[in-house]
Amino acid sequence: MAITSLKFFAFLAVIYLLYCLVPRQKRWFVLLGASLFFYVVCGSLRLFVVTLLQILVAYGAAIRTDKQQREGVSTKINTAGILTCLAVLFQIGALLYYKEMNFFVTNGNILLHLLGKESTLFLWQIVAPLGISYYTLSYIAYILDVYWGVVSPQRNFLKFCLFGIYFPIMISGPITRYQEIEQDLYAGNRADYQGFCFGLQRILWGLFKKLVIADRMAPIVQEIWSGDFYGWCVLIGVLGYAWQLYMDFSGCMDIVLGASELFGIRLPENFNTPLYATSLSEYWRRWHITLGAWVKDYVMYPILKTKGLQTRAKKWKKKFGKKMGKKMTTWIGLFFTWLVVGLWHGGAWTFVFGSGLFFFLMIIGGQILEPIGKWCIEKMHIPTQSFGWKLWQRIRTFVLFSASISFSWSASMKDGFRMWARCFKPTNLSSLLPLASRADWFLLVIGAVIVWLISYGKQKEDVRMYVAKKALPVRWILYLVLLFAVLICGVYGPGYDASSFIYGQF
Amino acid sequence: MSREEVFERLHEIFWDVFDDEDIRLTDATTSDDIEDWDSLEHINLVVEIENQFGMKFTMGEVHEMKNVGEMVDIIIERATK
Repeated sequence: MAITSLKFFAFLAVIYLLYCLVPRQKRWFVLLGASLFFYVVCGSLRLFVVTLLQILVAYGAAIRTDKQQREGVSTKINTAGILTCLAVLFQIGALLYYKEMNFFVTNGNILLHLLGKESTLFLWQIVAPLGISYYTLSYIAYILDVYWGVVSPQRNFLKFCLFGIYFPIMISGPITRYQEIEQDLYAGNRADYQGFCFGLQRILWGLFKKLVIADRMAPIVQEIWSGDFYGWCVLIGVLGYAWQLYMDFSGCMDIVLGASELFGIRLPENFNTPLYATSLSEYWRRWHITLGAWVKDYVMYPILKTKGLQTRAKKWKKKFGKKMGKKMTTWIGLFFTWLVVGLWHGGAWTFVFGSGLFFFLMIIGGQILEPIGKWCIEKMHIPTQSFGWKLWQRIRTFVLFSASISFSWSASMKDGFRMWARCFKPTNLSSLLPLASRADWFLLVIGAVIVWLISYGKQKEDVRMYVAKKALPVRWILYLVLLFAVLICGVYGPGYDASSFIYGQF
Repeated sequence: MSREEVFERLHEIFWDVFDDEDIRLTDATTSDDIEDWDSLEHINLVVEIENQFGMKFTMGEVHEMKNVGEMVDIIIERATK
């Protein structure tokens, strides 16, 4: 049941009706039932056992840890710490087994080959439980947050199950922390009239991004990457993929957040107009925000705070000066961030390399070249607050981001480099035109302009509030235009696979 | 340790970490008020405060501190333990 399908919206409507009919304190039962149904339909009942086991471990470990800490048993052994560690390791183990096993097998085979061994390890036929990449990170955050005293554990097992499999977040996240949705999830509030309208608008906006833009862009990008295109055409293919990915993923998030808003449950935002980022580090804070924040809080901070690294940092500061010493420590943190982000995205070196390239460019551009950049700006008297300079920074950032993720989409590292090699051959841009009809090119340009306008508006104020303040006819004209744009211009029909959200595969 | 004393020592730490002696802290100061106070500098700041005050923030506190006022509250709480 793809979240862009009619089936999903019929399901959503039935659940919403039931949700409204049931007494307030029982409404979370409806969501739990709906989430179970969604899990079984989109995933499988057999694999639910795995998810249930992960839920049980997170639930049990959190309660036990909390008890240990409240009782304050003063033993030399930190039982709560050990328990937390084991529970986190179990979650990581489950994620590695279901998502990375074949990555290890493939690399094992390469290693065996290099060592001159003839034996070959066979690839495993593994089907991962629905949403494991997303919910596992939420469970780890929950276990650690209880241990760190940030949140009290949920004692009602069924309520915790709802947090564990809440249906809107099972396809592509966002990676949600328990304390962020705890109150909304069980309160049984439903959206008021404005919230209901906002939720529907957001779903419609998400459908527009996914069906009108991303899915129209997909075959063009696919053709450029696999066909005989050179020079500027390759660069457009690279930028096109980044744009398609943005529309696909943020469109999916709009549908998910909008659907959840109908039940009065506000999920954390995953995007904050990344096109407005003027540097890669800012882009990192605006793109897939919940993953970035998760890695920062649960990987980078704990690593940077370790005694070993702090001792090393002191030595580096003495040896290389305060500033450089501090930077070098930060690079260690970024290295682990890169590794986790790369591995999380998929069991392939292309993802690890793509993620590494992003952080490498971030370090090179943001930290090493920064003094040179500042010097150039001063000497050339560049007005850094001017529109032109900001625009240049935004374009540069998007191009660098696109370049780094281009490897993630390549079938292999070789393919990625081969594609970039094609970039340096001369070509004629007009060879791109036959890839789509005039109407498609027109819609893509119009779509990009609309997205840019909305992004621009979001920098100033909440666009939905802005629309809500308009007169009734104006509002309805806008809604109807968007609805008909999706119905008429959306890419679907026979052979269309609406379930293929790019981030659904991770 | 009085609140004023904590602020005085915090000022020196902030000046040192951010290389800016113009920083003036209040309870309401947040990362938005100091240009270089991003997530990476936050951890450097936390570690420096821990070293100078001889105390430890829990990871939960590192995540949850919303402004300098909350930071000072935690430091005073630890100092009186």
